[in-house]
Amino acid sequence: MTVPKCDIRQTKANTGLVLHNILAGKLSIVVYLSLLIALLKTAVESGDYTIFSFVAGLILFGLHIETIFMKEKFSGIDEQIEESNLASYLSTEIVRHIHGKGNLTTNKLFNASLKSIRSSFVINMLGIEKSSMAKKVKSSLQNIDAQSFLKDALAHAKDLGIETITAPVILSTFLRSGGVFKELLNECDISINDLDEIVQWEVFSRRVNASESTLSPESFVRAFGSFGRGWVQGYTSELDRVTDEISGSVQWRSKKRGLMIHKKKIESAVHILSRSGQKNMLFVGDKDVGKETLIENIGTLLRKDEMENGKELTRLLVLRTEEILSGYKHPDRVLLRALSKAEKAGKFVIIIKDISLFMQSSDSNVRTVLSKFLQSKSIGVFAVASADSYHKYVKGNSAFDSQFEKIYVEAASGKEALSTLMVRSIQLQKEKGKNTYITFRALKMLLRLTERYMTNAGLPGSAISVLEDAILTANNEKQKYVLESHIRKAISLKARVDVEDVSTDEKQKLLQLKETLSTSIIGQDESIDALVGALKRAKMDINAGNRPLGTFLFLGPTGVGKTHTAKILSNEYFGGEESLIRVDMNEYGTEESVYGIIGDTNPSGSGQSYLTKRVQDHPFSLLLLDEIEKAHPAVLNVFLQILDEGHLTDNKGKKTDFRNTIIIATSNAGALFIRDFIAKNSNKKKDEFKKSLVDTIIKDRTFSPEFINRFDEVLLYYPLNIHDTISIALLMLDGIVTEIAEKKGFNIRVEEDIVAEIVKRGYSVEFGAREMRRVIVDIIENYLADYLLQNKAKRGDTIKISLKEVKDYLKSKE
Amino acid sequence: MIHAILSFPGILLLSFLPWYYGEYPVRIFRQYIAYAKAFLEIISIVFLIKTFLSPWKSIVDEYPKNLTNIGEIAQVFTLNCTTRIIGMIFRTVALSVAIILHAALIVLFTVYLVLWLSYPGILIVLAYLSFS
Repeated sequence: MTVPKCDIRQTKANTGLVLHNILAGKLSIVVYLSLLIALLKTAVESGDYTIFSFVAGLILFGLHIETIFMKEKFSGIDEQIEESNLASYLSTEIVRHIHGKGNLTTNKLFNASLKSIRSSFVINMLGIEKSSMAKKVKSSLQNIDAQSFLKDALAHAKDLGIETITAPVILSTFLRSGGVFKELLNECDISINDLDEIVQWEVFSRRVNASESTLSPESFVRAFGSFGRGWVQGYTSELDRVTDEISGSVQWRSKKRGLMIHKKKIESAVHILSRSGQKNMLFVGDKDVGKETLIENIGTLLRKDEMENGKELTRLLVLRTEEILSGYKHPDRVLLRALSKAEKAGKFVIIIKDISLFMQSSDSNVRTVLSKFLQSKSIGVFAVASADSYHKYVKGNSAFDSQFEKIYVEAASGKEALSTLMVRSIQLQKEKGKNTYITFRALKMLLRLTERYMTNAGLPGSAISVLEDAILTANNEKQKYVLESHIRKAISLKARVDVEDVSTDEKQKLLQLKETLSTSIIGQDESIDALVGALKRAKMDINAGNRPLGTFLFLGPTGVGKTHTAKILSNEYFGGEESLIRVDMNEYGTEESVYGIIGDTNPSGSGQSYLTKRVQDHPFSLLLLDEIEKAHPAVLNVFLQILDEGHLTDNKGKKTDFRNTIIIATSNAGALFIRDFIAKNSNKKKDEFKKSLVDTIIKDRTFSPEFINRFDEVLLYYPLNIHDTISIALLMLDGIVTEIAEKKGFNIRVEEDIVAEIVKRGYSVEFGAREMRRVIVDIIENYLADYLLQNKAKRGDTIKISLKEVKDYLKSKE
Repeated sequence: MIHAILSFPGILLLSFLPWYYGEYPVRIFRQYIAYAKAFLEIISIVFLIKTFLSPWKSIVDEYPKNLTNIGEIAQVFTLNCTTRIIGMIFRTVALSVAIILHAALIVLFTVYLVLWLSYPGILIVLAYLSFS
């Protein structure tokens, strides 16, 4: 087997460069100009320009031939590539940069790739400077053998479906080779797979950026449209008054968009349009999922088909729904005249951007008119509705609903959304002409954060709007790259939640969370540890999957701090108790109560449940499911989906995202078991105890094993011992005394022995510390009220409360 | 450099000549077809011929149901004929423009093709004349 050589001089690209230098190089141009000047001189003297013009024409035509020949035969892949010479796979651009510089080395290859315009895309996506990259890798380049490097580069190019070894392929091969290059990749936070994607996107970006000649046949057609086809259609003044025509503009926009997503939906829509019967379509989907773009893409394909087959063109008109419904005295008559005209004149597609407006209109005649024309074969109606409004307004009217073929548009997949973002970022750079670049890492983060935090809008629309904001911010800050911080800032503004990079203060706060919680929650250290762990993971985006931030089942007797933990946590993590969504599960004890969670089944009913509404309004909340053991198993089954997938699809088809919630379910199940077990087996380890408890609960059929397994952690709340109870009493006492001091301005001094009295009265084995607060309020606040009535006291005075006084007071009240 | 220069005769014989007299003239012809198609789209000759007798902007009147009303029938007939004639006039103009444009396109591409094919011949003749 012969070893392939690596000789750049024996490549076709090199021969092409030599030929070009001979025919159209600097020296040749000087020769041509000298000849022309001599001829011009003679022509001026004789007054006859025939020879001069003829020779000039010949030279120009010759150069024209040379340009075409070089472009077609010496750039791009050579059909008769010499496989024995690896250098023949190098792109012409790379050969041009190495040409005439002696033997091929990896150093020359690296420098040539950096000089190439094509490498700029990769470098900018990585978010580094060419000079700093060159500086970092300089010493490592000499250790790589050029021949084996080219072999790797060729294999890599083939894997990526690229025919020649281009500058991005060379860079990518270097970056994959480990050592200092691996460090460089790690610095940019880019994986090998990401790198491959970047190289493939570079190929795509060239296609998007390739400007079409203004003299190309396609440009002519787009510029002049189709002359004469409209002559067979009638005058449509009544229709034109209430519509906007987009037939032409969609062609431009589709081309500008560069790629089409929702391809299967487009195919099914075009199929519907091609049949002879009903052509009305209803596009149902959430905000920003691309319903209107989908309609435009369908319009583009329809126009293409009509052009290719010499058919009469269909006009796409957007109905000004709001104007019709609120701008005219008799909207039904206006609509009737407009649609009659459309029906008579010929082929039209009427686009209604929000069909629910017609359904909500008090004028039923408008709906009657619309229904009449939905049956017409010469008009197609493309209507748009959100999933919510479709179920609320359209589905209930079955006669109306049956006139449409439904196209359900879902949010784009991650891959589709990334493609759209990539194309949009390339276009934005081209349009704005500014030197602000979006790194691949920023794009991926943008996608991930948008998907996670902007749950009220779908992909790709939501991500594109964040991208545009982030670019604007980076431009304003005169930054070269759109950084993670710009993306986080834009998302924080749009999603109205703070997702800006975890600052030092915040990190400190997270690290101290355990301490903060421990000061408010007494005797439940294990529970606090598990909670804090989950929250740390969430804040650092480690747990960024399709589940809630944390799901916990708190088991334990009454009055030991389960609900209190949830309240404190909501306060600490989400910034206030208003972020606590408390659901008393004893209200969901019957099978029918499941509708209280998933919403009304009646299409005309009010729809959403309290739970889904609250979570939609406050996606960053702590959901407390109190006394979960009292809920019906059917209700628990609904929660299985939420705990597992992080969302709930209600009866109206509306999806509620629970991924930004912490879910805590509390239960007294096994309370007696806990008490008895602890009394009898105080020496046993807590793990054994937890296992015994869970086994007992499953055996009692309080919860099914799959329900318990859905929680991240099952946490046990132990009965409080005397030390815990005293600590709780002191904590509560301190809180109440501080509150009085802040509100009334009195300094309250309480004797130590009062605490024992509070514990005695406020703690019971059955209810734990549940009564504690009431007892403290009774003793302190009531005593204080009586004291103030009987004595004169002003702000700043110190009031001492002794056990004897309290006992006397309580005795007097009995 | 030397290697490249040595390969020039091979390039001329195996690459340039087949490309110059084979591939590229075909490309020129294809380009012509693409422009001709584009022109056909812009001024839709096929469509104009198909609808040559159609009424202008679909302006037509309906004949009365009562066929005894000769006057009204005549009036509708006249209007319908007129609208068709107007349509025909406009389409004739459009078709004439289309034919002129296509003729211009044919002339342009023919000149280019002839120039392309004869260019080496002209160079050889010029070289011969200047040496002799």
